[in-house]
Order: sequence, then C-alpha cells, then structure tokens
Amino acid sequence: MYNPVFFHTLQKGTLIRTCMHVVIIGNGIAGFTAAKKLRDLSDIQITLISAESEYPFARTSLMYQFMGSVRLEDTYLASTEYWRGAKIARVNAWVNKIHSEEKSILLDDGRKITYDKLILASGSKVHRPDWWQKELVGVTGLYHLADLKNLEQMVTPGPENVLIAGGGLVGVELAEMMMSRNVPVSMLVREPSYMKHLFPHKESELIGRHIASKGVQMYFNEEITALLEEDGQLTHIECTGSKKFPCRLLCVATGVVPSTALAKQAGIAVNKGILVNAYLETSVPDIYAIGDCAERICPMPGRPPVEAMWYTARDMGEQAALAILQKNTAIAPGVWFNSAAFFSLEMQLLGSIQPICDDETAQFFWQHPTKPHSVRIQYHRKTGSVQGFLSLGIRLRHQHCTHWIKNKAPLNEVVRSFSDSLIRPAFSGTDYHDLFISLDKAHPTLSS
Amino acid sequence: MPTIHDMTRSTQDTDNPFYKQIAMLALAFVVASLWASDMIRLLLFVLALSYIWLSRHRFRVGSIRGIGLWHRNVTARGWHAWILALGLTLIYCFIYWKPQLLGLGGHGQANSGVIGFFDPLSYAINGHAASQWFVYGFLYTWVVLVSGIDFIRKYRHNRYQVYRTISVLFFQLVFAFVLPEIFVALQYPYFDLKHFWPLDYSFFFDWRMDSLLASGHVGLFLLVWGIVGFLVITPLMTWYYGKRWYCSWVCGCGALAETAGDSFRHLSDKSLLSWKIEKWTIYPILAFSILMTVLVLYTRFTGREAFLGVESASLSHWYGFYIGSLFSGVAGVGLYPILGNRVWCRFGCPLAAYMGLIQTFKASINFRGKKRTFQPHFRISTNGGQCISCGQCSTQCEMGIDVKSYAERGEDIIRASCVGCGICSEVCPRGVLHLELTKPIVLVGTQDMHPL
Repeated sequence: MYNPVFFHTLQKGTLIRTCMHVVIIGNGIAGFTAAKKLRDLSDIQITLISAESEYPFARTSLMYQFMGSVRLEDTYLASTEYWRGAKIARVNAWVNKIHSEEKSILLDDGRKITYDKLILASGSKVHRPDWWQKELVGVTGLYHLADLKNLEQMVTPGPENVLIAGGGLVGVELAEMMMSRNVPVSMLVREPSYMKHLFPHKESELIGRHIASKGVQMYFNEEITALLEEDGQLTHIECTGSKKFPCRLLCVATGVVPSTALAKQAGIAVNKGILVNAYLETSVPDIYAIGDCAERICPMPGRPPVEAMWYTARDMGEQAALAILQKNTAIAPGVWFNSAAFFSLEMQLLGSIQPICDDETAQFFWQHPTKPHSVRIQYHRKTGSVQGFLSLGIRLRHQHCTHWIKNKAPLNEVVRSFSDSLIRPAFSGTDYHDLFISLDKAHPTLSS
Repeated sequence: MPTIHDMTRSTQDTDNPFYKQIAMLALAFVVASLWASDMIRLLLFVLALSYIWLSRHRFRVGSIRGIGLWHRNVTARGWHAWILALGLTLIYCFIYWKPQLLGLGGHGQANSGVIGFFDPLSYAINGHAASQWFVYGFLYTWVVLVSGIDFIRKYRHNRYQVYRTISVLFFQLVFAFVLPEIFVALQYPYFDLKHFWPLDYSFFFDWRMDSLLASGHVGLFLLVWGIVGFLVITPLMTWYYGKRWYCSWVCGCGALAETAGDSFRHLSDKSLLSWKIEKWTIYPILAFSILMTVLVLYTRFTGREAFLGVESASLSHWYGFYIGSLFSGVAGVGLYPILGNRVWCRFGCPLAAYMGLIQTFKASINFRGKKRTFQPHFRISTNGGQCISCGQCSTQCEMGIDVKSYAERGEDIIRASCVGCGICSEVCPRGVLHLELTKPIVLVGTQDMHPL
C-alpha cells in the first residue's frame, strides 16, 4: 500500500509453489518483512534466525519500552497467533559461519542449516568513535535490545546528569527517554545547529529550539575527543579544545554502521556495507542482503548507498522476497519518505528537500508565527514541478504528496488542493489560514 | 481565531510539596469538623479528597504517551492493582446486595455509617433520606467529575479530548445525577434521559412502566422519550457519527471508563482469542436482552407468565442479576485494574453491540463489490505507510483492537467495537492515525490507487 507498485506485480492469493528453502539471518524489520512477504506469496520453506529476540519486534519502540509505555510483547511485528499459523521456522541462535560453497550456515549451538537462498538482514551496530574502543562502565549506545538493560542501570541509582554524544534522531530519543525518568540531560552536537546536513537552516533551528524547550541542555560545535576513566568507570570527558568535564554517564549516539563481519568472513564483497546490485544480490550467488547492512552498488537517484532507515529496510524486505520469487524483476522505487518525532514534534519528509537550494530548485517555506510548525515545498525553478515536502508539526496526506511528486505536478496544482492534503485533527479550527495566504502568494510568481 | 490541535504535547509537571498539602488539608478538615454542621463537613470532605486527587497529577510522571504505565505497580497488574480490584469489587457487592453493612436504615431505623453520612446532602437535594443508590450515584458522579478534570488537564492540547470529556461530564452530572434527583424531588419516577434500552434493560419491566404510566404527562413523555431514544435517536446518530457519539460523548459507563479508568486502558487484551470471545458474548447478550424484553412485554399484554416454558419473570431476574449487576457493575468496574476499563463495554453492553452493527454496516456499504461509493462514515484512517510499528496505539486501545496491525498495512480501522475515543491517534508518535468522519478525499488521477 505504501508502494503500490508491488500490488500490481503480484496480487495476493496467487500462491507460488516452489520447493525452496530460504534462510533469513536477522529478524529486524527487513528480515521479518522478507519472511512475511515470502509467506504471503508462496509456500516456500522459510527459516528466520535471530540471536537478539525470539519474536521480531519493532526497534523503533525501544525508547517506548524504556519509558514504560509499552512492553516488549506489545512491539512484536506480528502477533503470536500469526507465528502459530505462518509456518515460518524461528531459530533463536547466533550464526557463526556461512559456507557459501555447500550452501549452509553454522549456528553457535553446532547446528548446521542448508539453504537454497540466503538473505542477510544483519542490521547495524552502534558506531564506535576512536575514543570509545574500550568498554567502560557508564558508557553505552542504543541499538540492541540488550542496550536497554545498560540504560536501566544508568538511571537506577538516581537522577544524575546524563550526557548524550551526538545529535541525531537516536540522540533525541535518548534525551526523551532520560527525561521521562526525570534524569537531567545534556547533548553534545558536533554541528553548529541541529542536523544541519539533513534539514534547511530554519527547520534545524525550530527543532533545536523545541528540544531545548523540553529542558535538554544543548551544546553545539562540541565533540568528544577522549574519555577518562578510573578503574573502568568513566569519570571525565575531553572535548574539542582540550576542555575537560566531569561525566559519569555517557550515551553515545554518533550513528550506526552496517554489521558486516559475517559476510566478510564468508568472502562476500563488502565496502561500508554488504554490496548488492539492483536485485539485492550480493557478490556470492543465492545470497541477498537487505536493510541496514546492505550497500547498493548503484544507489537510487538522490539517495545514499547505505541507508539505515526503517522504511527503506521494509521496502528492501519486500523487494528481496519478490526478487527471489520472480527472478530479475526490476522494481521501480516508490517516492522516498521519512518521518521522525523530536519529543512531541512530528516531522514528515517526502521526496527530496535540499538543505540549501541550488540553481535548479526553489522552495516555498511557511512557518507558524508562534508554534514550531512549518511546511516546506521544493519545486523545480523553471518548470515548477514539485519535488518534495517537509513538514514540522503538521500532518500531510502521504498519498497526495507522493502522487504529486511522482507525476511532477506543477506547484499551482498543488497549491489549489493543498488544503485537502493537510490532515486536520477533529475540532482543530482554521489556523492554517496564514499558510494558504502565503501559498497563494507563491503561486502567481510561478505562473507568470 | 481558534488554535489548531497542538501537536506539541505538554511537558511534565514539576514536583510540588504534595505531602505538605495533604497535612494542611487534614488539619483544616479536623478543625472544621469540630464546629461545622454535617452538611459542611460532608462538602469539606469531598472537596479535600478532590483536591488531593487532582494534586496527585503533579508529582506523577505520567504524561500523554503513557510514560511509566508498565513500571508502576498499580497500572501494571501488580499487587496494588489486585488490592484495588478487590476493594472496588467489594464496594459494588455491598451496594448491590448488602447495603445494610454500609449503614442503610429502613424498617423505621435511621441511616448510619457511610450512607448516613450522605443524609444531609440527600435531604437537601431530593427531600428524602439517602439510599445506597443515592450514595452510589453521588460518588460515581464525583469520581467522574474529578478524574475528568484530571483527564482534561492531561490532554489539554487536544481539542477532541477536551470537548468529548466536557460532554461526558455534562451528561453524567446533569442527565444522570441532577435531573433524576429533581424528578424524584418532584414525585416523578427516577429517570436517566440518556440511558437507553437495551443498556437500560429494565425499561420495559412492569414496575418501571407502571410508575411511568402513573405519572401523568411527564411520565408519558419519559416513556415516549425512552422509546424514541433507542428506536430513532440511537440509529440515526450512529449512522452519521458512528458509535462514538454515545460511547465517548454521552454514556455514563463510558464516562467512568474514560476518566477514572484512563490509567487502565492499556490492560485490555489484544489477542485474537479475546476478539473471538468478544463476538461470542456481546451479540448473544444483545439477543438475550431483546428476547427477555419481548417476553416481559408478552407477559404484560397477554397476562401469560411463560412462553414455551420460559418464565419471563425468572428470565428477567436472571438477566438483572448476572448481566445487569454482576457483569456491568461488579466485574465491569471491579476489574478495571486487571482487564482494563472497558470490559463491560467491550464484552457485554447490548447497546454497544447494537450501535457497533450500525457502525460497521455503514462502513461496509462503502466497499461493497468493486465499486466504492465513499459515503462519509466514521473510521480511523492511516496515513500511508508511515507506521513504525511502535505498538502504542494497540497498547492504549481500551477496546482491545490491534490498531497497529491495520496501520502497518495502511488500512482504515472500521471495527464494530471502536468507540472513537481517539487515544490511538493521540499517542501515535508519527501522527499516522486520524479520526475521520468525512468522505475520503481523493485527488484527481488517484482514483485507481488503493484507498488509504
């Protein structure tokens, strides 16, 4: 539904019958989606392997688990009833080795599983900067289910200030988690403003201000250079310019890197991630790689080769399933999108929004006079065709925006029906009046 | 100009010296009770309790996203929850079957104990001594009002939540408490104008019909109102607004569930099994209530006590005891801390079943065959494929709908049980879920696409 292309290639109900064993390593959203899609479309034999958890769960919800809003079982990607009927074998083990010549894998409990097709969905691991090579008490990242235990231990003794290194999405999540336990939080951000490489200046400022308004102490242009310890316990950090601060609790959120050790060992071509072609095939026959761990040799236009993102992983899971069932079916990518929440501030990004406009593009921008709400529309300077939407605090209809982007709709067409494309919660009133006036003003300059 | 729904949720309330306030209030209460009259003492007591209840919010970490729900003993089915459930159950048992233990007089004796405590208030309002039902009605309304204020404060940024809560508070206070007491004071039968059959299962019972028919024009009006209520108002309103117009905006059971029961909504079971159980309890109860009513009316008009060997009196007695008292009252509220706040509404309420059928029928005619007519109907829509499967919508759904499983597939939620409380849409961290009442907006050129 989010990518209608798939619906036309294979309709549900046409069950493909083949005698094949697909083994999937990793049960994150990528691995799970691949398994589910394969099961929906075929009677293939499927084995899903994970050491992290028995059932696939939503990694996006780790923070809500920590905050006590949900339990692990509430975040399962499929209910236990599904697993009872799905005939997907789940193996709770660590994969030690891949024997690609004899098409088998070796588990840590000594079991050997043979496969016809192997899907690597091993995900990412927390990026460890140079200064964090040694395990220290008081330092942790957030990626794995087990990381929650470390974080729990951090906040148990009482409200002691926690420092977060890195101002990405995970950094903000960590801040929200800590604040929910009444733990004071400081954040070190390398850039001069929040996520400068992704957001235009105005949005970046809005988000930064919103985070600060929630009580997070933000430090921009700061980077850790070294950690100082005493008997394995973190005591101080050293920042750029050799400034030294006392710090006993540090969360590292400087990004993630593809988890590729297993692939490397098996002789699969690896750059930053596991290299895959358009069909998600690796350099070794019958082995596919999807999700965070995959790196596209020919990246999609305007997109990075490695994309550690929920929606991308989900798409790749579906694509891999289709690639296995219908060999060499080229799949047109849907319109790219992402969403995030900075504390309570929702962000939606569809299509392409450049932080700084070039000669080809122009942007419309509107900002609420008092609230951290904004809309940005990027369009082609000459033709006026719409390329992307970025909204903060306002919900746009996904289907409308992707339709416009895909069909290169001119801005005036978008302006005309834009009010239908705002999702206005019940009784929300008409506060967008100002936005529509601004849009109308943007409109004639183009058509002339 | 009205402001829009503010997606920036409130930050946590800061700590305040809560225990100092309690100590001061206790002191003021003791001092006042030394000289004040019974009436003042009662009001002071109620006010002091309200104040403490509302102050509780300030030191609680809880906020919009249900922070800490699964960490706190009382909201995570810990032993506190079991004690609370036991306490609530006992209170209901006393009120229904052993009011004497609460101090109900009768046979020439004056009230004492808890019920006696409310005598001055009852005299002031309806001119009679308090009964267990007066005390129950008063406490129920009081709890709804106080926790309703708490609820409004918690969701103050969300106008839908604020408006519907004001609505349930109004209906509970005026329709369920003040007006019936006025009826009683004016020597008319006790009557709750919003309590429609078949939820009000005894509406057609002899003693109710007789008392209404004996009350002149007013009684006749109330009788007609009750019939129009379930025959015209309910289906019409549900056709246009879905079940939520009643369950989340008017109903008294809903009022308690949404306000006092708010911290327990996540406890409802989401498994497929409970959905099956739900279908096998709620519709038979609806059928049962209809059958019982038909039988009671048959007896009334023909004078025959039994039809095909089934005695209408024993059937209605059975229904009143097991469904009316035990299920909706004792289990329905007593089990809040264990099974969630809408056990009765979800598994038992015949009115909810009736409206649920209309709600899904309305939605289903839009999708009949290949043709989509897109009549406006109540649903929760999903914004494309933006769901991140965080599971908060399903967790917070008091009716036990696995909202997430629909959102993941990009489907609308049109389940019969949905009461339209809007909390799933409120807790969704990506704003994916949305309560809709209008026609789906279809852009030119996208008609062929799958409806979202």
